[in-house]
Amino acid sequence: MTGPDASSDEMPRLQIPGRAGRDQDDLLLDMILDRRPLPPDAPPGMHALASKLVGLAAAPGVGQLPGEAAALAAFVRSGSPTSTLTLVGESAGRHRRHRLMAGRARLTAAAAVVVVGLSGTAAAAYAGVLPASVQNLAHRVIDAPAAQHAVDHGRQHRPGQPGHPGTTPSAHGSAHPAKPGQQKGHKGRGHRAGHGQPVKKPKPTHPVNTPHSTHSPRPSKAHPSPSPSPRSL
Amino acid sequence: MLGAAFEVTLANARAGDQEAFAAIFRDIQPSLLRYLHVIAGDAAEDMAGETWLQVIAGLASFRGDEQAFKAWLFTIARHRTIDWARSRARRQALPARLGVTDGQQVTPDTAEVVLERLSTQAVLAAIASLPNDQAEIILLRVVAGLDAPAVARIVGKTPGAVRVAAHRGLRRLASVLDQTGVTV
Repeated sequence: MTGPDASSDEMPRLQIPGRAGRDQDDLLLDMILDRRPLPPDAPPGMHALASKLVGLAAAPGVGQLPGEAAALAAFVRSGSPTSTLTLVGESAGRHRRHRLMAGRARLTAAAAVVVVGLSGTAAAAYAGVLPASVQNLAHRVIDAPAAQHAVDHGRQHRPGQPGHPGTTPSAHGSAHPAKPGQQKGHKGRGHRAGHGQPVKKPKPTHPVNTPHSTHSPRPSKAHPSPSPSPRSL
Repeated sequence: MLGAAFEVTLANARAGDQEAFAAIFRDIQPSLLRYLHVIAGDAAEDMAGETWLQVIAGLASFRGDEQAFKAWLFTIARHRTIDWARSRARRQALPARLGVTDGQQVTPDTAEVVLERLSTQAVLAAIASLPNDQAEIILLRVVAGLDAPAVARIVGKTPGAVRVAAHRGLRRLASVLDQTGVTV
């Protein structure tokens, strides 16, 4: 932002030849900037400049000044500094509330996903349609049918065959992925079942990561949270 | 300047004394308006209002003497003006009056109610014709009464750079005032 300097011929009345004169010029300019009175023997140009600038150092206002009523009203409203000035604090407070609400919404959504995933997994386990390793784990943990039984069970009940005695409507939906949409949902739940198992003591001899589970979308990505609007400049 | 009375006045204002706050306001507001008049133009009063709101909000936590208080207040005013300038999508942070060329008249606005003399307006207009940094530094030094280190902190320069810019500005200002025939 540095602009061009004033050329020497711009202020003939302040000219003092030589470096000494320049230094004295600077001292006088400092005095003007500091609002100090100039010595009587200072160049007339300096006195003229000082006299023009001295009026800028405004005296305290007399009577009602522009903006005084509004400022005093804001001061009275403030009472305590923390409760002051909705104009200033409102925006930040609103953003804090939005962030808080967004965080709560994300937490709630995540909890819902976990609950749905666990209940779906349990239902699938009792239906005996989980992969063998997972099914065996479910057998030990929640007394679901063992893997071998589940395989037999699955062979006896092909998709499209009616009613299995122990299948709930929700379990049926996940156990028989006949429809594309249901299949996708089943995979999603299977993925979550695999990752939800640490809740019930997973054993290292039974890996739970199955190939199909890696294709499932992550639940957290499915719930974009509202973000505060960018700060306007 | 409130001088020795400033400390007590500020303490009373912090305690909620309206008269004390009014005393501080009346002491600084004319200078603030003159400063803002040059750097914010027609928005001077709005910027001053925003500045005082922020000052009131931070009054309880402020610590320092009168110089520090003024430096704090003018820093707020400067930041508010820069924000305002950005919101107006201006190219320069200090756009309003600093681009006025020599000889142009500054359009009167409500902020000029406090400018009691025509010569003062003419001097302000001449300052407004200076390059941005020189104009602002002269205003902060002469109008706000801040010392060079305080101004340096506000404008983000070294005290030496502030001094050089102020001297350049004063030399140029003397020339402008001489050419325009401004008299006191």
